[in-house]
Amino acid sequence: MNKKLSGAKLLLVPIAAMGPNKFPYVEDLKGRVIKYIDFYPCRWLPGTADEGLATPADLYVTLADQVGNAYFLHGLPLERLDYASTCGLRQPVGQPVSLQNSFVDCRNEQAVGTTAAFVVWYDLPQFSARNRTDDLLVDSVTVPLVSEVRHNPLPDEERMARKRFRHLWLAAPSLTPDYRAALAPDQLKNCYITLRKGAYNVLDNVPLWLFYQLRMMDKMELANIVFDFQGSYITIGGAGTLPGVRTDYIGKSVFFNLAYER
Amino acid sequence: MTAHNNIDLVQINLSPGQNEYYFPQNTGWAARRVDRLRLYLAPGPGMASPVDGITPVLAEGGADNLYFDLYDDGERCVCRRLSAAHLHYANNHPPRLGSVLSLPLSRLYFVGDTVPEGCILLYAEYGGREAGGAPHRALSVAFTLPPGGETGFRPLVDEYMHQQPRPVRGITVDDGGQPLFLTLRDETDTHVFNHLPSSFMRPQRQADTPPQAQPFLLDRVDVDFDNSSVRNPFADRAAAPTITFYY
Repeated sequence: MNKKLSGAKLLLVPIAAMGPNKFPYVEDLKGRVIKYIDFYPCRWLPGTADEGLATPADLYVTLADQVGNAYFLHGLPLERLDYASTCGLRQPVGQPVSLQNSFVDCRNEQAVGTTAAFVVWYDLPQFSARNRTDDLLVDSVTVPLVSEVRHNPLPDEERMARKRFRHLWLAAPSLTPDYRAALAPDQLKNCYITLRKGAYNVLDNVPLWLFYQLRMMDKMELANIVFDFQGSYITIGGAGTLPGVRTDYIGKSVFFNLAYER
Repeated sequence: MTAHNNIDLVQINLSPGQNEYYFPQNTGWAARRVDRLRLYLAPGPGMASPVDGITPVLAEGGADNLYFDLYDDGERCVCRRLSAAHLHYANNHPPRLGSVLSLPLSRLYFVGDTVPEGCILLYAEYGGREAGGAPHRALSVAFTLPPGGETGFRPLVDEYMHQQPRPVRGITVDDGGQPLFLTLRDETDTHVFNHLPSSFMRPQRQADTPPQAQPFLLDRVDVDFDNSSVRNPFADRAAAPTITFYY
């Protein structure tokens, strides 16, 4: 399977009861080849004050395929889908998934009432492309955080307009190159990025921390995706309910590097 | 995986009050296409530079607000405001440069009022090739180094005269968490491996370094055991490493 990533969407699965808890149906993912599914353990989720599932103990994922709804992945421990704890060695999916017939099996009473966050990586050929060259240029983006509820837009970087992006590298400095205070690693884990092309979210509320890959065995490479800086944004989890968000987040910035084809 | 042919060290000494540093002009790789730059940081205080044995090496945490602007020989910016974290040696997949760098234009700079003291160790990899298969044989030697001590490779492998590893295709160093510096010379003097930290070559089982898939690969280097050496940069503690040569 081609490991390059093109589209991603954050799915929230409420763990309402012990036993099976079904994934939501997402029209945009119907028929799409799903490459990977990441479980993201985080208390603060975008656009909601609901408590996110932070510990994956005693929860298991079962995925159904689209044809016949057979379970091709049955009872996989949720830890196996945690990108950070597997050092980047993701469990491949590699086929369309019937999300409404897939579920999270909860065997842990502590998890009932929380919401499990999954990032579904899928093939999105409309906004990605093959490699044309190995020559890449690296640039930087600094996103000031101005709102704990609304979107924090990416700056309009004309010099990177219409480029094909292959990497997004997140670091955790305390100061950005333009002398703005940056978020600490624990704060970055509560932020989510949406990269938008036209009216479509190419990366939809993907946890920013997934792009912190400094000690990962397997690198994450984007399939030369295209997106508009205008319309793309960063969201802080918790929908304004994160304690201390106005003092500890607003006024600071998120910094990352982008690599794109020359 | 890349089999290395040349890795050269550039030491940049830091001065109080100075935030910005340009690359030195007199490097051996000035006109060479650089594959990657790797930044080495000391695990803690007390490590001396392998070049002069005196200047303290910048420790972990000291490069959090360090950034690079790199230009190629066509004066095009190939890396703008690249965080030093991505050049850290622990990054398994550092940015690939693939350019001849313009040393007068390329610079690194600290952001903030506090500039750490000591020196930065920057390693330029160039001339590497895709590794052609994994090596099949290995020879391990264990030895001790006194504080600040140095030993050549010849005494380590002398007793293995009939099975001396050559050409060397890979190296791992089990340094017990205490970094050492290795300098490799080859018989034909065509390769450059100056003052390489053993952290580049740790085997997979080390807990405090990222897992590596295979040994630090060399492009079939005919190592000159008489002129290659390993050095303990700490003046206050001895070292008891094990080096494994793959051939």
